[in-house]
Amino acid sequence: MDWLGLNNDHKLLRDDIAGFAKNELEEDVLEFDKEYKFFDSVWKKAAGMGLFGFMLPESVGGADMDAISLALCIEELAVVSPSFAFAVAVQNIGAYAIEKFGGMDNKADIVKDIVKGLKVALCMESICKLKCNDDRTQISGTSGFVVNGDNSKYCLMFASCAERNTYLYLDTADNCEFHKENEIIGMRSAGIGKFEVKPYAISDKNFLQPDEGEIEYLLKICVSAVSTGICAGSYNVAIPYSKERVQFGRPISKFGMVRRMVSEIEENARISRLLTYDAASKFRDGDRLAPYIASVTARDRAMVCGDRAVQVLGGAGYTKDYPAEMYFRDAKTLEALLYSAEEERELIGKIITD
Amino acid sequence: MNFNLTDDQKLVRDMVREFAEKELRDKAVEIDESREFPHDTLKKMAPLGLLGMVVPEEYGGAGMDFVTLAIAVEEISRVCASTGVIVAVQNTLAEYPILQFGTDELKKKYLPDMAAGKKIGCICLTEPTAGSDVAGFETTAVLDGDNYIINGSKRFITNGTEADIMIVFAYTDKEKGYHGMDVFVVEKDFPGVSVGKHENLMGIRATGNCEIVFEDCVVPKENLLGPPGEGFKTAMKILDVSRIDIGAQAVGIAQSALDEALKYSKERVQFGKPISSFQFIQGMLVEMATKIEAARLLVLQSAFLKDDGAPRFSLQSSMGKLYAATIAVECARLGVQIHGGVGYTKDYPIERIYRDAKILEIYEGTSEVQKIVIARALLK
Ligand SMILES: Cc1cc2nc3c(=O)[nH]c(=O)nc-3n(C[C@H](O)[C@H](O)[C@H](O)COP(=O)(O)OP(=O)(O)OC[C@H]3O[C@@H](n4cnc5c(N)ncnc54)[C@H](O)[C@@H]3O)c2cc1C
Repeated sequence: MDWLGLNNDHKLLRDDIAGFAKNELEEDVLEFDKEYKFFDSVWKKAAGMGLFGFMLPESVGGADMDAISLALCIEELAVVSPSFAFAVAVQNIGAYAIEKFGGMDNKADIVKDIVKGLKVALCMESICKLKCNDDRTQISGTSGFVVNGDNSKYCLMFASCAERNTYLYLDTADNCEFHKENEIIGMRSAGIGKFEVKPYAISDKNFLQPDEGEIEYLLKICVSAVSTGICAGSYNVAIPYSKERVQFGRPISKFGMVRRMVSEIEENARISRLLTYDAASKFRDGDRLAPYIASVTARDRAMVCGDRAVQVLGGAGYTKDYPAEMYFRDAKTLEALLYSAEEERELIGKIITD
Repeated sequence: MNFNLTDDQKLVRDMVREFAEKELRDKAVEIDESREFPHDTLKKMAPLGLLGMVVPEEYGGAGMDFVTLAIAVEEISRVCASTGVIVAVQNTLAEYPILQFGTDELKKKYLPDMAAGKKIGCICLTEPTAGSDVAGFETTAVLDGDNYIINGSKRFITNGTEADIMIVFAYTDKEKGYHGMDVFVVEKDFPGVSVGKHENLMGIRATGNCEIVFEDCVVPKENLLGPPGEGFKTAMKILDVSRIDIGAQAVGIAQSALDEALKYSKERVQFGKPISSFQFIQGMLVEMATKIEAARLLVLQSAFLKDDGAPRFSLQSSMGKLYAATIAVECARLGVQIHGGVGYTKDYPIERIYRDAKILEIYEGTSEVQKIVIARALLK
C-alpha cells in the first residue's frame, strides 16, 4: 500500500483503464459530445472487460473488488470522457444496489444482465420526483434526469411512497418511456434524459430494502471520482498547451499567472483524489461524512479545473476544438445535477452536530 | 457627483429593454442553436439608432454618448449575449476607429452605411501567433504605388463571416516593432479577402466568428487610419473604449443570471415554500446583486470618463472589464446552482448564460492581460 492506500493491483488496474480510455474514447469524445451520442460500441467492450461489476460477488459475474478500485476506474475514464465515466458509475451503482438491496425473485439474473452490459439507469434522489399511490401498488409521473437512460433495460428511481422515500426498481420495458435530453450543458454522452412512467404496477418486490444511505454514499464516491477525472483531464489539456503556446516570445508556462492556474489545476486534482480515495476506503465501514465531504469538495474543484483549463487555452479553450470547454460544462452538470454544495454542507453540518 | 442617468439615457434604456424583450428573447435561444447570424434583428435595430450610436448625425448616426452606448449594450446582452457583442463590435470596434482616427473622406464613405446597418463591421487583430501578445502578429502591408498590399490571416474574428467593413492591423515595417504597425479599413470586396474556418464556440455562438484571410489584398492608401506607424497606439486607444462595452456586456450577462435566478427562486416551491425563502438561496441572490451593482458602476465610470473627454482611461476601463467579467462568470455559476437540476437544460436560459459568460474572461484581453494593464498603470 502506498500513501494513497493503493496496492499493486490498484495500480495495475489504473494503468489498464487509463490505456482503455485513451484507446477507445479519446478519438471520438469531442464529436460524440457535439452530437449527444452514447459510446455504444465502447460500452460493449467495457462489459467484456468486466467494468460493470466491480463490487459484486463473483457468483453473479462480478470482480469482488473494493470501492477504491471502482473509484480509480471511474476517475481514469473521466479523464478522457466524464460522460462515459458517469454512465459506467451508474451501471456499477445500479448493479450493486440491486444485488444488495433488491427484493426481486429474479434478482441474480438481472444483476448478471447488468454486468454483461444491459443498461441500468439511475434517477438520483436529488431530482427524482416520482410518486406512488396511497396503497403502494402503482407508481407514475415523469422522472427528473436519469443518467444512463438511453436504451436502458432497467432503472432505479427514487420515489416518495407514503411515508417512505426510497429507491425503486423498474423494468423499463414496461410502461416507461425514455426521452433523451438533447439540450443540456454537459455530460452530453451520458445517455441523460427523462423517464415518463405511465401507471406502473408495483409490489413490495420493486422496493429496495432500506440501504442506510449506502447507495447515496457510493454515488457520491463515484461523482467525486468523475470530478477528479475532470481535474486530471483539465491538467492533460492545459499543461502541454501552456508549454507549446508562445506569446511575447516565450511559452506561456513561463508567466506567473499561467503557472498559478496550472498549479491550481494540480492542487485541486490532488485534493479531490485524496478525498475520493478517503471516502472509498471508508465505504465498507459506512462512514457518513467522508463521501459528503468528498462530493462537496471534488465537484467544486472540478469546476475550478475546467474553468482554468479554458482560461489557460485562451480563445482556443472557448472552441470545440479542445476538450477544455467540455470539462467546463461537464463539471457544471455534476454541480447542478446532484444536491447543491449548499444543501450538502447543511447535511454535513447536521451529521457533525447531531 | 451625480449617479442619475439623464432623461435621454433613461429613454434609450427603456426603449432598448423593451426591444430586447420583444425581439430577442426567443431569438436568443434560436440562434444559439443554429449559430445563424441575426441579420433580421439587426435590420430592426438600425432604425432605432443602435448600430451607430456614437456616430454623429452628420454621418448618419444617432449622436449619442458612450454612457448611453454602454447602457444599450448591457440591455441587449441581458437578453442575448451574441447580439450584445455583435452590436458592441459594430459600434466600438468598427465604427469608433473610423470615427476617431479616420479622415473625413473615410467617415463619409463608411459611417453612414454602417450606422444604417447596411454594412456590418469587424476588427481583425488576433492571429494564430498573436492573441494576448497583440503585437506578435505577422500580417504585413506593403506600399505599392497608390495601394497597400496586405498578406496574412486573422483568427477569431467576431462578425467575420458577415462583415463588409474590416478594421485590419498589419505591419508596414516589422523591424520597427510597435512603431511599424498600421491600421486599415478593408472592404470585403477588395481583391484578396476571403473567409476561412467558421469557429464552433461554446457560447456566443451566433456571432459569425471566423478566420479571415488576406492574400495579396489590395487596399487604397487613403484607407489608412491614424498617423502612419502608430497602429499600436491606435489599438490601445480603441481597446480603452471597447473594454467599456465588453464590460457592459458582462454586466448585462450577470444581470440576466440574476433575473433568471430571481424568477425561478420565487416560482419554485420546495417543502411548501418558494425556495427564495431559504437563507442559502437569499445569500446567493444578495451576492449576485451586490457584485452586479458594483460592476455596473465601475463600467459606467469609464463611459463617463470617455464622455468627459479624458484622453486615456486604461486603468478604469480595464478594471471595469476585469471585474465585470469575473462576476459575470460567478453569477452565471450561481444562477445555474439556484436552478438546481433544471438549470442545466435548455428549458431555461440560464444554461446558455453560463456558456456565454465564460468568453468575457478571454476576449478583449484575457483577465490576466487586464491585470497586467492595471498593474502597469498602478506602478507607473
Ligand atoms: C469568441 C471570441 C471572439 C473574439 N473576437 C475577436 C475579434 O473580433 N477580433 C480580434 O481581433 N480578436 C478576437 N478574439 C480573440 C481574443 O481577443 C483572444 O482570444 C484573446 O486576446 C486571447 O488570446 P489567445 O486566445 O491567443 O490566448 P493566449 O494569448 O494564447 O493566452 C493563453 C493564456 O495565457 C495567458 N497569458 C498570455 N500572455 C500572458 C502574460 N504575459 N502573462 C500572463 N498570462 C498570459 C492568457 O491570459 C491565457 O490565459 C476573439 C476570441 C474569441 C474566443
